[in-house]
Amino acid sequence: MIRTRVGYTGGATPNPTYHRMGDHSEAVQVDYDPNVISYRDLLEVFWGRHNPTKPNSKRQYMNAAFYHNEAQKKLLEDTRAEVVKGLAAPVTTQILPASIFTLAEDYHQKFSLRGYPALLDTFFEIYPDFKEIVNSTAAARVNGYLAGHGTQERLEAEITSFGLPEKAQQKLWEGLGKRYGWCLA
Amino acid sequence: MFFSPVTSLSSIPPIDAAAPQTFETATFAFG
Repeated sequence: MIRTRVGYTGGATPNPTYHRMGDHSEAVQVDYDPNVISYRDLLEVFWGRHNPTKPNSKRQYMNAAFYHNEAQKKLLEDTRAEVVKGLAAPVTTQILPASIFTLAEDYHQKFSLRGYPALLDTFFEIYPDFKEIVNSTAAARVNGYLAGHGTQERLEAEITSFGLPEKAQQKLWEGLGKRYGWCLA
Repeated sequence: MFFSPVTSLSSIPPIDAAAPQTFETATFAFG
């Protein structure tokens, strides 16, 4: 995963914000290296992490995948057909063309990292402009670990590649130790 | 000479500097 960001998309309302989202939906956008992870792998996570039969009663919380090219569209349709086979209720998850994606407000970005001000300050020392933190692979990965994703072994293997000072690495381990019982072997 | 007061090249985390220039984007909404 190269970077992640949250925002609003799928609608026509110009310049959406959290409080004036209009017909947009809350969404996550990821940039990924297809040589490392495939779109099909991402779709396994997508279909596995939401209830595809939930009624889309509120546009804000709609379940949808937005395709950026025809190959993504075909994989979405193929995988939806597989999902349909295992369900009694109709699948309500939408497959829609990607459109303008408006970044959500800063306070929604890197939400788990924001719970660790000392770590976030380290990123601000590197990138005073928060937009660059949003675009940072290191920030995305630290945010992911703090949100409970990944494994201790994986973090041990890659933490030095994040480019964080030793003190910040210790802060990350402390945070994960308190929250998930992780510790350095 | 262009000078960026924001970020010096040496301070960019290695994993960011090594991010591939070509990538694909995926967008999902999880209600």
